[in-house]
Amino acid sequence: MDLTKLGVIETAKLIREKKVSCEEVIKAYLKNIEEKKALNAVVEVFSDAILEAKKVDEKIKNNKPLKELEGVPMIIKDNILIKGKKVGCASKFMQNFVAPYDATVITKLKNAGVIFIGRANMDEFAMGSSTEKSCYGICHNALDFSRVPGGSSGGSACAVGANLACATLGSDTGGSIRQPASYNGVYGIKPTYGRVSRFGLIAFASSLDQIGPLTKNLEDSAKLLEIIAGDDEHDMTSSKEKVDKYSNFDVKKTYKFAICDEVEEKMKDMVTKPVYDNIMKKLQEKGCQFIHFSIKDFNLCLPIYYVLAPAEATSNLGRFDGVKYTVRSENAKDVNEIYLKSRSEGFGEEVKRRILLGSYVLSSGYFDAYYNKAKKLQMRLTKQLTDVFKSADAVLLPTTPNVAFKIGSKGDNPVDMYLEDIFTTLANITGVPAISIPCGKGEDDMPLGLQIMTDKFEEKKLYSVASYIDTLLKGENA
Amino acid sequence: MISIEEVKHILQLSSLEVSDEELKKLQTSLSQMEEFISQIQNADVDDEIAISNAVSMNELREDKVENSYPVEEILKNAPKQKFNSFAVPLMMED
Repeated sequence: MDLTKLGVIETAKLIREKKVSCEEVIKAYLKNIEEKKALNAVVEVFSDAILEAKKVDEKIKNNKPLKELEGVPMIIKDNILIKGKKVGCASKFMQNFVAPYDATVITKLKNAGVIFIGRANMDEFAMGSSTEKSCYGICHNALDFSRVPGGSSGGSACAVGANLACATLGSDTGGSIRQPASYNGVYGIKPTYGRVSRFGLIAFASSLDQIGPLTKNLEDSAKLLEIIAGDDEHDMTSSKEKVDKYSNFDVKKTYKFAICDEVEEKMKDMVTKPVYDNIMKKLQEKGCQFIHFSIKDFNLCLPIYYVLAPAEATSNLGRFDGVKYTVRSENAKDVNEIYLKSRSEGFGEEVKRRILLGSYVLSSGYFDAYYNKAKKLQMRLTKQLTDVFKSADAVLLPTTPNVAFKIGSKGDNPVDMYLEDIFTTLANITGVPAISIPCGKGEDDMPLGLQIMTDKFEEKKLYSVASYIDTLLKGENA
Repeated sequence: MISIEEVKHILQLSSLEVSDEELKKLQTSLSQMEEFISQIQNADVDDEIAISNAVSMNELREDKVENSYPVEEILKNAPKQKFNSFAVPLMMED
């Protein structure tokens, strides 16, 4: 049996039932990571992983009570803090940073018995859609070495797709979990804004960022979200809303789905359209109903996102100054030069561009035209989208326009890369949860993802609907 | 098109500096980005109010003194430290 093919729940069960030792599990994954080093998905393997596994095996030997996910190995995106471990945001600016505390999601996973075996590659400061912009070098797609894994959680998605961990955590500001999940044929969810505490996640755009799991199956995704979700006194934007048993799928016989006219219009030019048409057909055959709705401003999602996210990034990245943390420039002679030179030498090209764009939209004379206007559009989009959930269970749309693109294929114009997120930013702007599930194959047999959205804090329904569709599609491929 | 002067201004606002060669490149890419986001300029949103968050919740915790992180731990990440503080070059002469 190849242990590395198993997910979170199955692995925990095998360890608990003593069918396999925790050390065997961890060693199998470490071997896989070593053999697939060229993917560059894992930027550091934690040296204490085996030791932690031995502790679990000792507990089992002594018949001590085991936690729900005791001994399950996970890899964490390089922007989430694990106490005592390096966290770099894939930036050379942060290369010496050691986390002084655990992120809340890490505390919760530790309490569930999870073992962290390494950290995952990403785009610098989570700014990118291809994991080509990392100080650790390019990460590759789990299924095709010549293609990108997507981004910014590219390492996290690749690690799941290539079986380098049972599951991983990523972060999603404009699609950074869902797009790479889609590209590597795995499951990735961006929860409702406020569902998961952001404490200990190095912020990119605080009003849009959410942490979420990337997994080999839907059950694992629901189980992990159940564990990491919830209110946190360290994050005032975390919600007190009750955390349901997401992993108890409550699947109905039929569902009512909503399709956005503007998305359909975009799909007309997509070579992958037949894959999605086929899913709709299957759902109709099962008796599901479809309604259509219009979001007039849908085409403005990306421009809105590229006003709001850089504006917040400019402010969030202000504290990286070569004084409190980050590398200090050796060329700086006085305090002002410490700021100026450390930042200029430390940040990569794309990060600088976004900081500058953020400063631009927030600067005097442009604030109303850009930032304020984007905020107003965000309000309108949110109202228009959440209205739909009064008459439909879920909105369906593709995760990406096409399969993973080739490494180096995006040109000099940064906007070409931004268009990658055409279907994903809507969920961040409006705050609703969205999951990407594998739904078929495109060019060269590369995977495609279907995106499902429900109303805010309706993760329970989201997983039930996702399970309904996932089962249907798996039956078809069987 | 964003002018070179404007690029210099936002570089200053951002505490960043670039070489003259990079400045030209930056002018091009920032102009491409600006053109992209300027699509929102034509949208009529006068009857909307700006919101801080799509999901609004701003609950403050009780204002009571709690233990913070140990200073030594936090200072470990500072590139330079002295007298239990972050260290920077002298800002004023005696």
